Amino acid sequence: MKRFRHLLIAPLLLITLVTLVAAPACGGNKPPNLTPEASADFTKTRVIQSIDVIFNTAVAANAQNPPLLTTDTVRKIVLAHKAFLVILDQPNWQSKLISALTQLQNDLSSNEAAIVTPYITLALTILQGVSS
Amino acid sequence: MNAQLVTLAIEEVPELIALIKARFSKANPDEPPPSSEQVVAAYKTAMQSSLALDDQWLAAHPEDTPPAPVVEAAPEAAASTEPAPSTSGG
Repeated sequence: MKRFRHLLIAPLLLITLVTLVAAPACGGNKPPNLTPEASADFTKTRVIQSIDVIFNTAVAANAQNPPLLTTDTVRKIVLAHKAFLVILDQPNWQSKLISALTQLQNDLSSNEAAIVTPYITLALTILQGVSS
Repeated sequence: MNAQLVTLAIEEVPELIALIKARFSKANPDEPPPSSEQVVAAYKTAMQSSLALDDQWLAAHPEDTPPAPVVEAAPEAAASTEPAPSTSGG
């Protein structure tokens, strides 16, 4: 497992860099004079982009040869991704989405989590950035 | 494994860069900021396309489909001979 963690340094460095760069800027350029609904939708669009990265990563990992994630795991992630989108239209969606992302992270095995967690962390960071 | 993980991370780079660009993109003074209607429409489009991606993937990978042929499954005698319920009336 130590060796496996070592192998993840490059992707983790990339994600850490992106997180550090992206987090402080997360809601910095929201257009002025938006209605409250449009302002919320602007934020939610950003969040959709970040959770789409999780989806795309899982599908890409499944497409590797041999697959880095099993189809069953990707199905779990896709269903979670769909649930994330449904949550976006619910009241108090920020805290619900943080819980759902954390739940997905906990539902994955250690090997699966090692691949997907950086992207979940990125989404959580962006979400916390836009929520504050 | 290492190469695969790096490849996977690299494949996501354009998307991550797009996220960063979106964060840092300054409003062009020559361009009017998007209207509320445009922002709401963009959200609905993003939502629908994401949901469509989910549905497409789920349709292409139905749960009933066996993930892989089971090679090491030993043929077990599944004949469970349960005794018929005796109606012992007494």
